[in-house]
Amino acid sequence: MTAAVNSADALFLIFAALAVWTGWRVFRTDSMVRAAFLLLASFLAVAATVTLMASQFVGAIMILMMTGEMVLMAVFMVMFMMNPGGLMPMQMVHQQRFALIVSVLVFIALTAMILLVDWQVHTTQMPEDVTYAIGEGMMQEKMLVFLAAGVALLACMIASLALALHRGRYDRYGDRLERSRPVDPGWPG
Amino acid sequence: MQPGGLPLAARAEDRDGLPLDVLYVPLGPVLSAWPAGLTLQLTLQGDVIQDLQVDTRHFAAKDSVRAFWNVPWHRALAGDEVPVAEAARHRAAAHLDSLARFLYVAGDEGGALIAARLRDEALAGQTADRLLQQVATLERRLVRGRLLDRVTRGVGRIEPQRAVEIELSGPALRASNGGGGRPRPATALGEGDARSRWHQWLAETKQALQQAADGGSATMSTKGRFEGPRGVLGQHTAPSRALLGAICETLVGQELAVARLIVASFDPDVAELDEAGEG
Amino acid sequence: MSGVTAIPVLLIGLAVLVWFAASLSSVFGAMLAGRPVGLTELAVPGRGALRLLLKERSSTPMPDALLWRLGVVLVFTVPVLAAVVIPLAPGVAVADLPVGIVWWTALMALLWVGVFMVGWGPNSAYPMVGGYRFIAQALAYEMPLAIVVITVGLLAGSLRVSDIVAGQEGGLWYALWAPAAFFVYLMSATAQAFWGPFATPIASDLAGGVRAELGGVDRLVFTVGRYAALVVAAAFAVPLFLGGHHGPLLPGWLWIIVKTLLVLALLVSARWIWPRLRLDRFEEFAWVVLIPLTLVQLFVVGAIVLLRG
Repeated sequence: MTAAVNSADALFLIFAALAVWTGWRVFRTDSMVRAAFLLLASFLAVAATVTLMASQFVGAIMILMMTGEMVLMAVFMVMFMMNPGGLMPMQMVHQQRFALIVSVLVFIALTAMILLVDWQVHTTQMPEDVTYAIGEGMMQEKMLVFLAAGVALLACMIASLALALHRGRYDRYGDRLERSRPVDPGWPG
Repeated sequence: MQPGGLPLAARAEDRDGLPLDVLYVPLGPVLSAWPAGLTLQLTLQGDVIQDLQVDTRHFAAKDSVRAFWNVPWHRALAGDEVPVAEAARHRAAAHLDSLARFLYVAGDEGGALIAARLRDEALAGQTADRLLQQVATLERRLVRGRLLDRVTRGVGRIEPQRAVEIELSGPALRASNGGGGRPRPATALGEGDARSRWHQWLAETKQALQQAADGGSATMSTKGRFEGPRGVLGQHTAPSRALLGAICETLVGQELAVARLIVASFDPDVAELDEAGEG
Repeated sequence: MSGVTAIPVLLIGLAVLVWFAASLSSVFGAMLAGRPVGLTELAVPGRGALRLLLKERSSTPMPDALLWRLGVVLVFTVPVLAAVVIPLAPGVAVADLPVGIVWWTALMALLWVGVFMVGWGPNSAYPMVGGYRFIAQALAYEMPLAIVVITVGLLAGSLRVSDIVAGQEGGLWYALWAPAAFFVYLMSATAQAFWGPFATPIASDLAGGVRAELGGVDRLVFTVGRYAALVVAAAFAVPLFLGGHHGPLLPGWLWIIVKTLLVLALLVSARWIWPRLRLDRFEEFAWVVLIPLTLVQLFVVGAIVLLRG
């Protein structure tokens, strides 16, 4: 039993170190794409540590979400940057003094929280269904509120997209949506 | 600055008047299912083709060779007696060849294989009736599910008026509903897009095979207009020259995703330019 | 047998299925081209692999070599890692995780990273466009696929793959409870492996797309990885929708093999039947038709689960 705990601890430390190291490398690379994928690597390492703490669901979801986010981020950065591939030397950090102050303050606050909060250590048996227990533990009877908020957020995203769209369905299908085929630029007929 | 000897992208105004990177990307001269020897120098901004230059100097023939697909009509122009059935068979094979290339570019690998096989069989002397059957099978496959129609509809459109102005002839002109002469097959919708062009090839393949089946021993008359697979031969410009013109017109403003589809739907033959002393 | 001892079985099974898929694809091609089909088709994948092994790897000016090679490796390893949750025989899996279906979905999403890296690495226009296309394709297929996976989890009341198989014991397969979900799964799985009508990142109109600058062993690893993605997608449909090892007469492991081969043959044949879809048009179809369809299916399944109590 002790040996198993120790190997799990060792894995945890390895992944934690990996998360920090790749997080640091994000700011030391010239290439936008490399920066995005280093950040992804950092998040994946965090997901591994979360999984090691028996929250497999959170870990797996983190892999899924972060992969999608980082790939999209890479795509958008390439679109907007003059030199995304790092062909020329490029500074990845800006406003260094301000950033330094903020990050030191955040670090102190988080460290203080870790050290000062009286963390409860469960000695009881691990629940049968960890995913279920985490969900209940985090939301309890507020589940419905969270779900409603999620749906509202999704509606807001769709609405803002509809507002931002250059061409909506009335441009494509006619004022009374009477066309059977949409009229799109470059696609006559 | 040229890191690694590669120039960085310069910027120019795009179609909305905003500065955007300009990228020069060549299509050709060698690609699978591509008119061999043709190079299109594309000027891209994002994925929009802003400009292009045609270059056919690669592999230009040294001597005056005849384009393979035009051989029967050139023989007739020179005064040889060419059986109508033989020319019709050659025409069907040429259309099937174009169709195979087009289907390959459209990602229908199965259809491309079938069309290429039928082309080979037509040249190898398979009976016209058998070929007609098989072309009908191929057609059923291509219209099934209407997927190919959806993928090619509205792509690379040439209006009827414009098709006449840029001197298109042959199937490409009839697909734009601009051609008189022979009756237009019912399948051809004359919308002038890639979809009507591949339908036109299919329809004229069947027409030619029918002609080959009925032909008997009649020979082509040595007078009048000679229409090869890609258009009228013996004029001051080769039909493929007009097809290249149509490509230049339709490609500008389109996205890279449809560039190959448009080129394949016109399918110019660079060898035809060589024989007309151009290139 | 379970856990670590099942790893060799999984790897050998994947290798055999990859070889089967490649041979079958070659058989379909030979039939359409009118070539005689014989047992020699079985040698086609091996011959292709040998040819690639003997060739030199390609290189381009100023590539991002690290991301390029890493992408090739990812395309190969991701399907293998995702496959650990797939049952190989009744009660046998490398890792029957309690969140099995989420694990599979999450791992297969790493394919985006792999394909994008392979497109980005060579510093060349067509591969890069190919890599971009796969991200656009992912935007189209991933949402319907995720909803479909949730639907299956809802039917079984569990995210564990063995529970999902157990939920179909002696009853209707989930493919019959949720036919629309099964259909969308097959479509999305094909898109995930960028196969057949969804082969947009390696399209013929991009001179091969992300594959354009790959040569030698890189191309071999990438190609095998792509087939592995297709195989894993087909194999995962068996526990999810087709009752896993359940079936009359035959032993469970044989049922799994038979069902996997049938789904795989179906997916492989799609390449030789349909033209390639155009993303600008498929994107709209995915969001306007597929997502609402899968949502309706999810609600119907939810109602069924509630009524069954």
